[in-house]
Amino acid sequence: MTSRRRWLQAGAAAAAGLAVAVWLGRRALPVGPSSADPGELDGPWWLHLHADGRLTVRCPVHELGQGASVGLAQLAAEELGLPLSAVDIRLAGSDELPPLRMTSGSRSIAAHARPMARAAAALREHLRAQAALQLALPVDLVRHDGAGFVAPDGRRLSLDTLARQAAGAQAVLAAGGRIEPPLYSFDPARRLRVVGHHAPTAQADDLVRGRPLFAADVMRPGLVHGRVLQAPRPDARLLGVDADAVRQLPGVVGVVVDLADGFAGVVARTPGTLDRAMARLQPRWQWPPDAADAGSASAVDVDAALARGTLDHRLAVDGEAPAGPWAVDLRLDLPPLHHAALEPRCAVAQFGADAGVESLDLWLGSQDSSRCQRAAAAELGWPLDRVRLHRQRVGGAFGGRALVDVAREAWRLARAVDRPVKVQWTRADEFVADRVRPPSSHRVRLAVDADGRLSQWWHAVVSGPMLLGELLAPRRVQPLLQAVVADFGATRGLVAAYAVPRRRIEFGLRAVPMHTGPWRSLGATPNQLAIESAIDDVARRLGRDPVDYRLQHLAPAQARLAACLRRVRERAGQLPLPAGVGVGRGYACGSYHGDSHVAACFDVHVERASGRVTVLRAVCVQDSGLVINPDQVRAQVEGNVAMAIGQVLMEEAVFDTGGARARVWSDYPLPGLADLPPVEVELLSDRRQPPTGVGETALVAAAPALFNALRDACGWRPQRLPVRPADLRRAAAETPAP
Amino acid sequence: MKLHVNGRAHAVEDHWADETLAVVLREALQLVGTKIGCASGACGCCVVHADGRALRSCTVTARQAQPFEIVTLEGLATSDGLPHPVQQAWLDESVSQCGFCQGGQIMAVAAAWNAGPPADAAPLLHLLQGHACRCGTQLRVRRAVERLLRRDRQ
Repeated sequence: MTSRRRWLQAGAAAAAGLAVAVWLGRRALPVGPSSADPGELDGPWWLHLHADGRLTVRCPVHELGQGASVGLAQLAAEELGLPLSAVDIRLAGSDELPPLRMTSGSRSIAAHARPMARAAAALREHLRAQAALQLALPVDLVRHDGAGFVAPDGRRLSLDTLARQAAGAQAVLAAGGRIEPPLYSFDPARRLRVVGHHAPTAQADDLVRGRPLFAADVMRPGLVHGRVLQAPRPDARLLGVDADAVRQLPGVVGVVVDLADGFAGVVARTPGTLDRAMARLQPRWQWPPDAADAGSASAVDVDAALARGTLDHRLAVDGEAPAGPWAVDLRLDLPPLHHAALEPRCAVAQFGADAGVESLDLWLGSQDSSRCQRAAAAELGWPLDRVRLHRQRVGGAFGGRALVDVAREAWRLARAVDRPVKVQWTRADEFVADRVRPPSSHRVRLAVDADGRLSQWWHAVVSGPMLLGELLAPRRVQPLLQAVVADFGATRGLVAAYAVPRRRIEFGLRAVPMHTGPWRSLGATPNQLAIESAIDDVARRLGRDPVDYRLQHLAPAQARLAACLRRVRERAGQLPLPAGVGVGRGYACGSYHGDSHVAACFDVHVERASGRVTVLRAVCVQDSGLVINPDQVRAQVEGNVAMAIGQVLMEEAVFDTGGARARVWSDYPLPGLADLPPVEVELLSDRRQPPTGVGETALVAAAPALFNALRDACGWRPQRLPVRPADLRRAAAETPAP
Repeated sequence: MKLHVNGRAHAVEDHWADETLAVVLREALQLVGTKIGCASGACGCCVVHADGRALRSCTVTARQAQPFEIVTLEGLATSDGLPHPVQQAWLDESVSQCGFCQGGQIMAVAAAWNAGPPADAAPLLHLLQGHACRCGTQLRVRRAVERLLRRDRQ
């Protein structure tokens, strides 16, 4: 309470009043994802200039390892003329910041860069005005350099002197906010000192030294440990548990069972006691007897759906219905994928009292901490400010921390036992209750005219729900929502960039008996895998160069994407493909959100006898507009390459009637050090363009480029992923050796 | 019960004795640099040094660890607080993304390094193949190991 009051009082009256209005407006919304981009009133709260001239950036995005916090700090430093060493990055909690946007969709920089730069620039201009007053000069004669403000006659006022004089340095921004200050960071003519240069990631030193950063690192006096049963399927109902057998176990502090809510949890003195307790809980689950068997592929089958007529949603229909004959008629089925972040999700909850009023502190690693805060307040029937959210670093998210139930599990248990409780999911929980990337099934039919140009493009997709499911709506409302709107997660990137006169692009959603949700790049990578395979196969069939063929179909509006593709070919061509049997090179290109562009080239070797795949080399050329921290952008591209290798060659979340089958880490193999080739990354940075998303972009080209390289190497287009050595061995046995 | 960790003896309450060493380091001794990613010895996040050798601390109980001198990530820096050469290599190559797995990788390399730097990167890279990283830092891990070996030759 007190600190909330401090947060409000920190601002000048006008600014605080406006900020409160924004605050209340957001509170009135139902508990859904925090999807609103920050507005211009948010920026001022992100910055605090201290009397010693140091700047604290209260980072407005969750730090998941994407490194966006340092990028945003670089913008603030650039605008204020500070070295980055004078900036401290703070993953501030709900006491110090207005509600945060959910950190997703590669929006950390795209949505926050301008408000951040604007807030810092407004602060700079306010200080310039103060300096002008003291120097008795018109404002435009006062020059800004790194250390402060300088008069034409050489008199100077340092930043820290001005900061000392400006009481409540963050609040003054609102006053300056009405005039658009010049933004140095986005001025292409300006020589930048911080933006565009290397900067170490936030908390890098803390990470290598093992300092507490993550939710599980939080310790509280009297802390006990909790764990909650995870439903194996979204339609599973909990009928009962053997609570008495667990209560008697030494070390058990409490057992909480609420069957109506499907909630059963145990609190114990140690995590090991929880292992024993959960093993004895003997849950009895029930799901509808006619529910689709998650182990069968029948739920998501594009041809079966098309046989019943057109799909529910049409994203593009030009001209008459496509009719063939088809140059390529391709089917591609993609399996569900686990997120498999290394950190099992965790929350710590503690109830307390501020001046006699009950309050809740939550320490949490999530992509959407504001949602967790709102959900807790709503369920407790409290005003929002009685729930304090302490935002911790997240040990990998990839879409899997967008919905984080563990916060609710922790506070429910803490309330029941009246002690601080830490709940950390086990690895088995992370598989059982993972909101996997839903399976999808694609049919792409392409026709060409007499000149070999694409004349018809028909892409039909059936997918499980990605965003239009649990993330956005309660179970009962989902079918209605899904009937009205195409799942805008699963359809991301479904409309290909290529110019084709006659198109039909349709989408159907199928309920699947598994927990599903967003996964890095949402539908963009699955859709791109189908799109980029199909166009590659057409070019191959016509005997055309696959890059030239793509370029021929990219309209002038796609010039930036075309530039990436040309450059990746040039760069890849600098090293010839090694001679020999089973060697292949594949290309692909794509845009994410329509404004972040990438092209990729992979070289692979497939050993015919064993089916063993060696990825020899990957080249990625990306244009995400203004690059704030090149090293971090490269890191994101590299990470996407690793995930491309995983999903093309290894990964598949396996389900049977009882839900996800994986229990231990080794049940879900991922690429390791030896599976990663040398990766070359080139950034086509155009400073006139605003910064766009980088967290997911490279995946939309890297995965299909690798798939196309496999096709090039073995002369066969698999109909499903992942492509495992056994598949390649079988294919090799059925085709004559080249 | 007593555990010898980072150069001193720590008293540990008896009810922790049969918990894994990883859990006890974190929850009883509050040395949270040791991470638990899988609790089955498969991911490598929980590596500590036991008498100088790399040990996945989720695979032994605290009781079993009593005879050993344990060093955790927090105890790796030199006595004057400077980062260990392996930590420095990780910083120089900006390896970490989410960073959750990096401590275990650093400890694994540091154990081998302290035993005598190898002639080339191969044995260290082989060791790291058994460490999981979902962010895809493998390329930078490789670069950090190569930098470490260059440093030794200089």
